[in-house]
Amino acid sequence: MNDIDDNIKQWIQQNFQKPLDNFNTHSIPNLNLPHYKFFLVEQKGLRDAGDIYVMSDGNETLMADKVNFSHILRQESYLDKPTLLTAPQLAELILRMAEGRSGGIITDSDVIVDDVDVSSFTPPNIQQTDEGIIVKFWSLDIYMSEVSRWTVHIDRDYHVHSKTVVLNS
Amino acid sequence: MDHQAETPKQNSKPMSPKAESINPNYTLPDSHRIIHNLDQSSRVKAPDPNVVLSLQRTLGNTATINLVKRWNTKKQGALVQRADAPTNIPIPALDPIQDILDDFRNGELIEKNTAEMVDSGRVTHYYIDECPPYPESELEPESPYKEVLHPVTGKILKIQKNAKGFAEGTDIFTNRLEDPELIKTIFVHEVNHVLYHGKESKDDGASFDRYRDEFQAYWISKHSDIEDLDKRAERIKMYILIGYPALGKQYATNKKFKRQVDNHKRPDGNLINSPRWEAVIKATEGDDVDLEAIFTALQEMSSEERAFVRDDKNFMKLITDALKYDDILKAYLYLYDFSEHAVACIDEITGSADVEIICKHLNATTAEERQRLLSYETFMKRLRKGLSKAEMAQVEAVLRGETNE
Repeated sequence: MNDIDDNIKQWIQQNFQKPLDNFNTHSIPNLNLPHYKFFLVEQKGLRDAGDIYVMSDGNETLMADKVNFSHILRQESYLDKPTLLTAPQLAELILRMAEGRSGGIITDSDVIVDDVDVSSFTPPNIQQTDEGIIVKFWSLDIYMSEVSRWTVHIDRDYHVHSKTVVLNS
Repeated sequence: MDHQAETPKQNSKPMSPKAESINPNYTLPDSHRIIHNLDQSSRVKAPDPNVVLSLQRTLGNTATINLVKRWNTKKQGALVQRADAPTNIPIPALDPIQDILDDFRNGELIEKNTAEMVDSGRVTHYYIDECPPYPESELEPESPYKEVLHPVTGKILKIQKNAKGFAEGTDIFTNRLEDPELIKTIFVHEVNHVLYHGKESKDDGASFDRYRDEFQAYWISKHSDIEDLDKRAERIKMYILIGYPALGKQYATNKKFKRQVDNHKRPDGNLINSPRWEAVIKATEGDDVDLEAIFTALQEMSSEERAFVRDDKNFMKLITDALKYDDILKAYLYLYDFSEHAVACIDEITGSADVEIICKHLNATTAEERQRLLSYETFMKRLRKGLSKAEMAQVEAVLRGETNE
């Protein structure tokens, strides 16, 4: 883990040009993959938009975006080992690492606010297809109380294609 | 001094033009023109800026924003003509925060206080589009983050692209084209963070203090309309644990943290974004209580604010824990809207206990206040303790209006 810690510190220094004590890093082991570990980099003093999601394997630290997420899944050979993550874990990893979104995954319809029709709600689920996998899930932006329905296709080349519908805009 | 009578000070930040006095020459930098942004996000043809200007002049900011946001809907199609947006025509800047602050100034207590925080320069508002892009940013266009510069300090801010609002220290940033009701909610929420007194929250996003901070901010903003307080607490807890991964992880792995969160069912700080409440908290934080600061804060509260804090057990505990004896009585006199003269009686009884001075102060109060003081048993008991029977009779005569001396 020390390599990873050092690598993340280097990444912060390269990306922010600020002293390290301006940041906290929080590990979120629930979203770890065998090689790449998930961290939230907190920019102290910047509230409600400043959390940066990264994953690091000790050699490289990659910030959330679709290309990096594809790279990570490819490095992990995720499609050959789909049981590495449960559906809620994968859904949350997509939300954070592919989309860079705060908020969270809805696993229970009790969470959903009153003005959303929950009759079609399903917990996060993964479908295997010949072309890869399809992940479906609902997310909640707690700042906005906004509920979104996601359909994410990860193809055999690990490209990530997301479709999202906000259900209560 | 009546706080409500104070003239609001102007924000130190240069203001954008108000809806009533739109400056058609006011333009946003080309790189972040609002209509351009709108066009990108909604993938429709942008409205003609002249139409926007015309709407803004006739309908005002709020209605125009709502129209522009729904430009692509059939409903609006009949109202405004779609057009290709010429890139060389200045686009007027919508400035909804001015309307929102006006609403706040005439709104509920928490809204008045939130506006006061801006008017007094304690917090400064910016639109996110006022932050120029960081020219040396190496982020890819597809990145969910963007790097912008703080419009005044030039500090680089790496933020989520879809952020609707955020705070950087005492600066609050919102989206210009956001639903004004949402901006109001964001504003109340972020100002509460600015006023939050816990130190750990600012430095550690995985601390229980951060949980408390967020719990309180959501309690008074986004979820303030949930009347069943237990349900409100449950909803906020659930949301925070879902939406803040660092706090969610602590809850799942740290027994002490989980216990603290499970037991935290009500906020325990400044629920009305009051700078005066904050001043009382600060005055009681150190080893030496700053009496003057406490009394100044109580004195400056409006009647409405005093009524609120009187009913708040956390505020009252703050007062009763920090003060002793006569100072508690003085605080209560302020909190129950008694005048400076009533408070001066307690100062006098604590000092030289000169009955003539006490009577002089009592004579300076209104007849109604004298009646209230006469029936305020704690006040009367304190005077009895410090005065002789004859002196007390003199005081009671003044309070009953039986003498003018």
